[in-house]
Parts: sequence; structure tokens; C-alpha cells
Amino acid sequence: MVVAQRQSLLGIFPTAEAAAEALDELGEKAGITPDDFDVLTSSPYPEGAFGEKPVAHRLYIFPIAGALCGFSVGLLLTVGTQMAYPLITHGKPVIAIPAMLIVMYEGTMLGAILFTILGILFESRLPSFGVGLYDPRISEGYVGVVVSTTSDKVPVVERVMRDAGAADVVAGPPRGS
Amino acid sequence: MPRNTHRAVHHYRPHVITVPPAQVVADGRRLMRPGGAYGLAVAFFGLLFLLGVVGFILRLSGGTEHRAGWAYFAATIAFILSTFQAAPVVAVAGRLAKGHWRRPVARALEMCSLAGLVSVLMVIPAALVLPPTFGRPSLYFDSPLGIPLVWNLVILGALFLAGLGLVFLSARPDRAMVEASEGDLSGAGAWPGTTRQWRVLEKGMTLLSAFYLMAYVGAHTVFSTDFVMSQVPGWHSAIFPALHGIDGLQAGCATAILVMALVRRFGRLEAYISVDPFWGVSKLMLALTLLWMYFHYAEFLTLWYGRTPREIAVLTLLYGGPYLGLFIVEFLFVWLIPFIMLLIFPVRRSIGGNVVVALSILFGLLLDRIRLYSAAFSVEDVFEHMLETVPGPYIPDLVDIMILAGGISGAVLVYLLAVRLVPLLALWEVRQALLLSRAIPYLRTEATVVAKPE
Amino acid sequence: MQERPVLSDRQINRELLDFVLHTPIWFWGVLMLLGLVFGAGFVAVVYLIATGVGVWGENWPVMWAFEITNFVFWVGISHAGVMISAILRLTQAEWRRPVTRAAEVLTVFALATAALHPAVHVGRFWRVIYWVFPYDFFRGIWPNVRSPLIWDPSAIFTYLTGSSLFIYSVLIPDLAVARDRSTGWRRTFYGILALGWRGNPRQWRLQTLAGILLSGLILPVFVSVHSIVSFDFAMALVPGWHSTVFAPYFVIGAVWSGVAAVATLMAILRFMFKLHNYIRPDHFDALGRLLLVVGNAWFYFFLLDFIFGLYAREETEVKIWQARIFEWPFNALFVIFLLTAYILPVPLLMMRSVRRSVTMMFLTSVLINIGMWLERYILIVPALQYKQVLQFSWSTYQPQLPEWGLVIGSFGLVALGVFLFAKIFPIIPIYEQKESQVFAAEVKVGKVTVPGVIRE
Repeated sequence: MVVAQRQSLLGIFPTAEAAAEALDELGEKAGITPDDFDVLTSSPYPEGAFGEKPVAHRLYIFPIAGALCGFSVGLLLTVGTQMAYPLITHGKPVIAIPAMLIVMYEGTMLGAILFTILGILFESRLPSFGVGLYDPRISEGYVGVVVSTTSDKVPVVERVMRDAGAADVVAGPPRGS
Repeated sequence: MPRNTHRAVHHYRPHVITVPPAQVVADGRRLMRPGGAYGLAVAFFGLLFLLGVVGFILRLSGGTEHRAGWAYFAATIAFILSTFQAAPVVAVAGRLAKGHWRRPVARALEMCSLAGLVSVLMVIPAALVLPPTFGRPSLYFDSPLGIPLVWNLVILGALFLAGLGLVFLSARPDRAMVEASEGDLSGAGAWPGTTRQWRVLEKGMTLLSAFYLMAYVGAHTVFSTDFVMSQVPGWHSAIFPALHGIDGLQAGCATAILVMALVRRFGRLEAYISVDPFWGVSKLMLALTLLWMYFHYAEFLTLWYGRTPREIAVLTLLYGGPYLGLFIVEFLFVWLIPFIMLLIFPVRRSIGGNVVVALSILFGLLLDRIRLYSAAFSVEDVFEHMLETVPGPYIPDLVDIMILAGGISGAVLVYLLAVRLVPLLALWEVRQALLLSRAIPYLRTEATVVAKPE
Repeated sequence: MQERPVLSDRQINRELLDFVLHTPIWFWGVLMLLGLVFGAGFVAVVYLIATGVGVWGENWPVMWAFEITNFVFWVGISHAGVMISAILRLTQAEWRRPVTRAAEVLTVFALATAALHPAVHVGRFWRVIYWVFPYDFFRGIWPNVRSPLIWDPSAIFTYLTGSSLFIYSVLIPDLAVARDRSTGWRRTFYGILALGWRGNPRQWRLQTLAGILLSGLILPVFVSVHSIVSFDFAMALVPGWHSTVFAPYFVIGAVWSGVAAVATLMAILRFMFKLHNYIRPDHFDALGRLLLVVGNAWFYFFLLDFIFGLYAREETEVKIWQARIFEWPFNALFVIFLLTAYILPVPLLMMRSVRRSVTMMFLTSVLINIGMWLERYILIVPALQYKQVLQFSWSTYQPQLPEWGLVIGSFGLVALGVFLFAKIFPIIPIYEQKESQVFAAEVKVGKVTVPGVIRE
């Protein structure tokens, strides 16, 4: 059985409207669905502006996990220190819970923040080695449309993009599907 | 416009009111002529209010020497101050921050301030029960002008009048609109709606809003110090007035949620009040729930840390002694349940979830006010240097329950009666929203645009 | 916001990356000047370590004075970042856009500078390391986790780490722009830091969520940090310090001085880097209105501390307030403090013409910070200096030259840090400026076109 090769193309469009029109044309003429394309912009756009599929993520798990870890570390640190040095200070009990709460709280928040940062990077699929199919003009305001399609449709996609006003169309190397 | 609608992505967008302007006025007119459940509600709360009056007379007949018997009376005033009179702060804050979500609910929340009439009337006998301020720490430093009745009347009166001003100033154009729609143009003559009139109205609302905020803070400062802290010897806590106010703000958000939900449901205002105001208020409620813990912990830790007998006695009275059980239950309802629930995003962005949280907070706050005021009013000798003996818990009797229920019902009754005088929906603010927020196509999706004329 | 210039992405990139990618001649002059100012502090600290803590004016019972005042002051300034960045992000205030990064950077450097103060004022600071981690079980040097002096580093470390990571995570898109617009070693440097950012909808959505989530997480930390610093004083049984209101009082004071510091910084950045398109009078107007609310809230808490300090009419407390208000030199400092921290700035901020004037906002914000520095000094020193019952030795505190050097040097350190950051990374968020252009819209109301914003 012959496995169809897939290839990515990057079209650079001077305006967001041109990129959106190109995506409409690609959908009609080349059967490109939201699963097949990605849009590269220099700033965020309103969700769904290009007809892309909603972003699914599980970012919210990370702060919860981090908070639990941080809470445990804070608890161990405070309880452990007080038990290691069981000295009475100013009439307070050896395990002085009101005084422990602050270090436990800070540990919880630090854990939550650290894990959130990790989660953001993970869910953003960063770090990524190299930028892949990309054009520096995107940071100047151009909109990049990256389409992944089978190798036999590449000429169709390229023609549709150029007809829709792409300033440039760059093809990536073919890869096995 | 999207050509391939199958690619349109559906996700949450801020609600845009799309009711025609004429319908807005018609709905305002309908709200001023409520039927059905309204009459039942007035009858029910009226009856409870009368019971409360009976309870007050019974309590008065017992004299004012036994101060503990007046604890629930004072707690009722504190509850009204922390709920009905705190709810307008949510609308006021929304107005000062120019948040659009407040528009459909601003009037309904500002009308809660009218319940201040009940607190103003109730504070008169309550202040007369207080022991003299000479010879004990108070806000008045033994000054001959230090008469709690006068200062509490002034500040609570100012708060009520600011609320009254807010409601009737903002209702003026609405009443003219409703009357004009019924063929009565006499009111419209006084309010033709010139540009100058609108500018003066908006300026006046801003000033009254700022004044309401200041009066709210002042009211909590004065009332809580006079009725709670100054009756507990050895309790010198600079944070307590602010803590009392913050607890009130949290409960004010809860009251706002409840009022918005009831107005939406019984006023049939689903087209105006979406989940957006609930979401906005719930974020504030979460912040204030965290601040509840912050203020209480700051006070507790400072008093607890030094382990001085004077401060430990105060902590025993308020937290760890006769009211420990009550405090635990209060903590559960005013902090633990709301905190856990509000951390969950779907709860914050829902009406039902927010209502459950609001009810929990209101119940918890009621217990908090009962705890504080029962503790303070139970202290026998307020002229001591420190609390030598921690009094036992005050157990309420039937009269206390009648007073509590009657006072709260009186506040609700004032609100219900005001519904017939002023439209629950801020018609001019909603019509302004019709002008200033739109749903527009944006590339291949729809977006909500909010105009910022300022 | 009525003033909203239409700027292309190319123009935004060019203007905001100009100082990063090109080095004007005045850069070296400013660097040298800031280096000299910082050097004063460096010399003072080296002298302190070489000679001993005796070179300072502290002596029993005034063991805390200039250094702790400066420490509290810089922790206060560090609250600017979260106030502006986190709260305005959560409330979707458009005017935050040019301000957020500068405020966050000010936070990090102010906090790092503040964190140096406890290390410096123990004298032989290397000994601090013994009992930090791992615990020194063998010599009995034990940390007292019940002490506010242990809570302090936990809070400051959390806040510093959180703020630094927050800055980095929202800097990534701008690092990608710097990568795309530079060549040679700069391209490699920014390319590594940008982590391969491409700008697809997933990454942008996560960026937006990151801003909101991290803002929500860092806000509670921000409230806790200065509260814990206040507990250094409030937990002690020193009359004049032992007040329950210190936690919110310090926090709101920190916000007051921090937001004022942001206004100062924005005025300097606008002047230095010619950022007139990005930092406009309407931003100062919005900052001014925020300052007005915060300033009045601060004054309420000051009144609470004042009134309830005297409330119980305890002799020592009354005497300390008398010392603060009537005794030289504190009486003069108290008058200057009240004037600069409230009486002058608040009426000025109520005037729209002042709020929209960059010069006046700069001067007003500097006034506020002078007043707030004095506020901490007046809070700390008289309470210690007052001769208490059972106190058998006392002294009058006089700041010495090394202490002045430390204070001046700290300003140099913060300024140097922010200046170098602005040289290496764009100090105005590039993608936020571009986002404001994308999310800008107009609504036609009758004959008038009203500027609006797309809300999500």
C-alpha cells in the first residue's frame, strides 16, 4: 500500500482579510478543513477570526498540582523545623499552626506559579527546536497560513494561495503521513 | 461576513442586549406594576415585619439595663448595613470603573440602599442602650460631643440619603419615560433629556457614588467601633472597622447576586440580565472572600502572637471560647464553601452556582454578626482595663428571633414598596448600552464591540 | 481613550526595538551616571563589611532605622508591577498596555534591591547562609519558622520568582519579534530565549490565559508580601508597632508609592525613548485616577492607625505619637510627610489638567514617594527611640554617611537594572500594542463615531 506523503506550505498574506479569504477558497477548492491549517500572526486575534478550531488545553491542572506540591513542601518545612528544634518561643506551642500558615501559604503559591509556567510552556508546545515553516515578515504584520496537505494537492493549494493575494508561498519538505 | 459557516467557531462572547428601545420602556412600565407573587411577598414580609415590631416592643418593655438582650437588635442593624447597604457598592464600583455589565442591574442594586431607612430607625434605640462613653476607650475620647446616637444617626443617615439620592436621581429620566409612554407628559416636561441635563445627571451620579462609598466606609467604622469594639475592654484593634466593612462588602456581593437572580427570574428580565453581571460580581466576591480571610488572619495573628493576657482574653471571647462552635460553622459558610466553589470556573460563570455561594455567604455573615454583637453586648463591666472574665455564650430567645426576622423583613419590605415607585431596570442605562455595544462580524467570527465614549 | 494613533506593525517594531537594537551615544553617559550612583552604595556596603556594623548610626535601642526603612520602601515600590499589570489585566483595562512591562520590571529590580537589605544589615551576611539550607543540626543554629524574619524571605522569594517568571512568559512573543528583526549574535540570543515561538492561535490563546492565570495567582502573593513585611513590626510588642492594621496599611501604602513610582518611570521612559505614540497623556490620566482612589484608601488606613493607636489612651502609645508629631526632628519630618504623601498630591490629582500633564504627574509622583519614605521612617524610629519602662539604655539615632550611601546606592541599583533591561529587552510590550490595534473598533452613534474595543 502506498502511503501518501504530506507536505506543509506557508503562504504569507499582507492583511488578515486576505488570509481569511484564502482560507475560504482553500476550503472550497482544496477541501482544507480547520484540522489542516494553522495561522501565524504577530498579535492575538479574536477567537475564531480565521475559522480555526477552538484551542483545547488542560492548563488548569498545572496550578492545582503545583499548589498541592507547594503546600506539602511548606507543611514539611514548617512542621519538620519545629519538631527538629522543639523550643518554646514566646509561649507559643511547639507546632504553632497560626505561625506556620504563612510559610505554607507562600509554598503553595510558589508551587502553583512554578507549575503554571511549566504548564504554559508545555501547552504552547514550547520550547521547540527551530521555528519550522516561518517567515520573519509575520512579525511585521503579515499573516502566515500554514496548510498541511497531501503532496498531490500541493500545486492546488499553492495556486489558490497565490490567487488569493499571497506575497509568497513557501513549501516545506515532504514527510511520511 | 462568513462564507463557510461550518467553519464558524462558537465560543463565549459578552452578551449584547438586542431588545428594541420601545420594548425597554414597556418592560420598565411592567416592572412598576407587578402582580402575582409580588402581593404575596409584600404580605409575607409585612407580617414578619409586624412580628418584629411586636418583638421590639416586648424587648423595650423589659428595659435597657440587660444589654445582652439587645445584641440581636444591634446584630440586625449590622446585617442590614452589611448586606442591603453594601450591595449598592457593587453597582457604584461598576459605575466608577465604567464597566458595561452593570447597566441592566445597577438600579436593582442601588435600590437596596433604601433599606437604610430601617437601620436609621433601629439605631436610635440601639444607641440608647449603649453604656456611657466616658471612662472607657471610644472614638470620642471622653469628649462631651461623644454621643454615639448622634454620630451613628449622622453617618447612617448620610449613607441612606446618598442611596436615596442615587436612586431617585438616576430614576428621573426613567420615570419621565414610563409616564410619557402612558400618555402622561407632565414628568417629561421636567425631563426633556437635553444634553446638559444628561451631563449633570452623570456628573451627579459620579459624585453621589463616591459619596456613597465614603459614607459606607464611615458607617462601618463608627457603628462597629461603638457597638462592638468599645464594649469589649482591652480590645484595641485598628483593623476591626475595616474588617467589618470588608465582611460587609463580601456579603454585599452575595446580596447583589441574590437580588440580580430574583429580579431576573421574577421580573422576567432574561433578555437583559445574562450571566455576565453574575460572572463579574463573582470575581469580586472571590477577591473579597480571600480578603475576608486576610483581614481576619491579620487581626488574629497580631493578637495571638504576643500571647499577652489582655489580647488572649479578647481572642477567647470572640473565637476560642463561648462562640467556638458558632465560629466554626460561620467559617465553613462564609469562607470555606465559597472559596472552594468560587475557584471552580463553571461555578463563577453560572447563575445557579453563584446563588448557592451567595446564600452560603449570607448565612455565614448572619452568624458572624450574631457572634460579634452577642459577645460584645454580653460583657458585664465595660469600664475594666482588660477582660477579666469571659462571659458565657448568649442564647437567643423568641423575641430575639422575632426582632432579627422583623428587621430583615422590614428591609425587604422597603425594597418591595420602592419597586412601585422606581423601575427596577435602569432604562436610560440599558438604552445607552443599546447604543454603545454591538455584535459585529469580525473576519470569520462575530465579536462584541463596546464603545468607550470617555 | 480618545487618543489612539493608528500604527502599523512595522512602525511599532521599529520604534519599540530602536533602543534595543541600536545604541545611541547618550546610553554610555547615562550608564556611567547610574553606575556612579550605584557605586556609592557599593562602596558603602564594602566599607560596612570591612569595618563592621558600628559604622552605622544604629545603637541600642534603635536597632532598625535607615536600612529597614529603605527595605520597606523598596518592597513597597515593588508592589507597582502587580497592581498595574495583574489587576488591569484582569479588569481588561486598555490603558495598561504600555505600562505593564515597565511596572513588572520595576517590581523585580525593586524587590531584588530590597532583598539585599536584610543580608547587608546583619553585618557578616555570609553567616546567614549557615542557617538557610540545609539546616545546621550540629551547631544548634536553628531557624525560627514562627518568626516574621523567616516569613519575609519566603514571601520575597515567592514574589520575586513569580514576578520574574511572569515577565519572561509574557516577553516570549516580543523576543520572537526581536529575533526576527535582528542579525548575528543578537538573533541567536533572542532566538534561544524565544523558545521557537511562532505565533499560532494555540500559543496566543495560552499567552492570554497565562496573563490572566498568573495575574490571579500573583495577586494574593502581592497582598501577602508587604503584609508579612509589616508583621516584622506588628508581631513585636513594641508600643507604636503592635497594631492589627499594619498589614493592610502597609499594602495600601505600597500600592500608593508603587503606582506613583510607575508614573515616574513612565514619564522618564517617554522622555528618554521618545515614546510619545505609546505613552500618552490619557495613560497618565488613568494612572492619576487610580492614584486618587488608592491615595484616599491609604489615608483611611493611616487614620485608623492614628486614631486607634491613641484609642486606648495607653501612656506609652500616646507618648510615641507625641514624639512623632511634636518632637524634633520627627515633627518636621511629620509635617513634610503629611504634605508630600497626601495634602499636596491628592488635590493636585483631582485636577484633570494635572493628570494629563506629564511633567506635573512626574513631580506629583516624586512627591508621593518622598512622603512614603518618610512615613516608614517616622513609623519605625520614634517607637524604638522612646525610652520605655525597664529600658536601661537609650540613644538618639543619627544616620551616618555609609547609611546615606546605601540609600542613594539603592536608587542607583534599581535605575541601573531597569535601564539595562530596557536596553536588552523592549520595555513597552510590542505585541500588546499590536493587539490594541487589532482589537480597536468604532461604533457609529448618530453622527458621531465613538472609539470602542472588541471584548472577549
